[in-house]
Amino acid sequence: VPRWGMVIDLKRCAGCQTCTVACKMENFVPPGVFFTRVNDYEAGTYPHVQRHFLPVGCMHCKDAPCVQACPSGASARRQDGIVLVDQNLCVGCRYCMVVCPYGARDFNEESNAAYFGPGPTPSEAFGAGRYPKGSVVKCTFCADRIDEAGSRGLTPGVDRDATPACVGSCIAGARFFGDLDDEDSLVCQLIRARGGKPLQEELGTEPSVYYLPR
Amino acid sequence: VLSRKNPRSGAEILRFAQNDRKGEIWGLKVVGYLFLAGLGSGAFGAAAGLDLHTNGQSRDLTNIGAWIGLLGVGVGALLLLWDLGMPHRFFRLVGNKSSLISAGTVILTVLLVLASITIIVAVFSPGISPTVYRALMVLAAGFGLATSIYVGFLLAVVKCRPFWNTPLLPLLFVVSSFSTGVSALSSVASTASGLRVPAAAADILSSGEVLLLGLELVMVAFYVATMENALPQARIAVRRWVRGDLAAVFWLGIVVGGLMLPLVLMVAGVLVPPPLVAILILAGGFSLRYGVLSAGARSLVPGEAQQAAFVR
Repeated sequence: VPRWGMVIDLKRCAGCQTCTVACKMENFVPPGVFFTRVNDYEAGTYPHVQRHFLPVGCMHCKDAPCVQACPSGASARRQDGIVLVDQNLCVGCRYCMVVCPYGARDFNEESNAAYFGPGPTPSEAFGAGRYPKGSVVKCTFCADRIDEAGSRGLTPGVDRDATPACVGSCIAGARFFGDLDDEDSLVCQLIRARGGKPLQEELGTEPSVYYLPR
Repeated sequence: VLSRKNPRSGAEILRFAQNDRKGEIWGLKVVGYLFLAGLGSGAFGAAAGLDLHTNGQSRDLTNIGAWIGLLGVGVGALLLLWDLGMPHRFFRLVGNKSSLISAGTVILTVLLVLASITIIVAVFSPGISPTVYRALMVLAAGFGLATSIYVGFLLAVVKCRPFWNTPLLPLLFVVSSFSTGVSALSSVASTASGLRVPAAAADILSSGEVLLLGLELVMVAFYVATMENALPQARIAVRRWVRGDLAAVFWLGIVVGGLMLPLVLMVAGVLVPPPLVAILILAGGFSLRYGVLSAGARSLVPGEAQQAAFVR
């Protein structure tokens, strides 16, 4: 079984937020909720200032605090390393949001929230009901695409349709997807060659998202 | 406690950034639960201790303790249910053995059942054998203690929130639970007319309260000192407590109003109506939960604070 993971090259990220929007489209993410986003910030003091970009989302931790904290078992880690929230089980206690070191989770407070009211757009109508009001939602690594990959003869991380939308849409080629347990996979090679590291490694949650330094 | 909506003013953005991208995750309802469950648990502890100390001679008072316990824990539990995104799925709260919330739900449920039985016994069969009655009270007090411990650990185990991540927090919550429970009970004892209250009972309650308040004051000092030397986000929280947006809550609510003033009034024997002292102590207990919950910010990842100001 693979352990799906992502590598993000901070040298390439241009902060365009295309991944943010592609994710919104792919997953019908409601207003006020983000499965992925790009932190856009300044670092240093004048005159030595730099603008930095840091794409963040669920890190799909191996030892995920949210999975341990979730009282209903809605948050669970699959065999292939993807951490998912079962919307049919979530009670909405939000303890997972409290324990997540990355702020990767959002509480879906409104049902059928629309960006451009009144009423949903055709796209919003199509995606309505995916995320019930009062449940906690987050990035799925586009699990539907990965689950369909086998039957469609596609390989996640290689074929665009079987890879998370943020990876396939990145204009700069800053995101990579693949099997972290396979030493020869592109993601593992990149991590080795460039010294990739997860965020807040010291918390010991063993995230499946690695960052290549700028 | 901030709203989860977007911030507007500069000061608001700063406060917001010190918390989370979306502000507080748990708000006033959870603060209310932490406080009321602590109060109720403490009242059970006080009542059970009183029953043992006076060898069953203060049944009037211990019954009142049980009522305070049931009301506190019951209303607290209702607040918790109300806070759920999907209250109708509450039965799923016990679905994960490794979750502290599941364990807490079991403890809370047992406590509520025990509290109800105690009340039913007290109302309908006052002639029940003292041993059975005492066993019920002690059992309820035990689960009350477990309740006030687990709510502390619920916060203390969160590694990414340094202000909570210390075993001092559950200890502080337990002491605060007892002090609020005892003070509620003793204020009722000294005001309600027609109660048979042995002098020994009133004495032990007031001296116990002084001891608890003193202990709590020392623990608050230790807690703040520990956090001042902890990770950056904990130091920010201390700053918010001592001279930031939560200074009123900390100084007026917790330190002076909730601990020092009641201590001075009780030790100096100043004649103030006991309910007034109890109100101060209870407000202090509420302020403590509010202050802790509001300042428990997560250690942010780079750029998160700046991003919070722009993202919609």
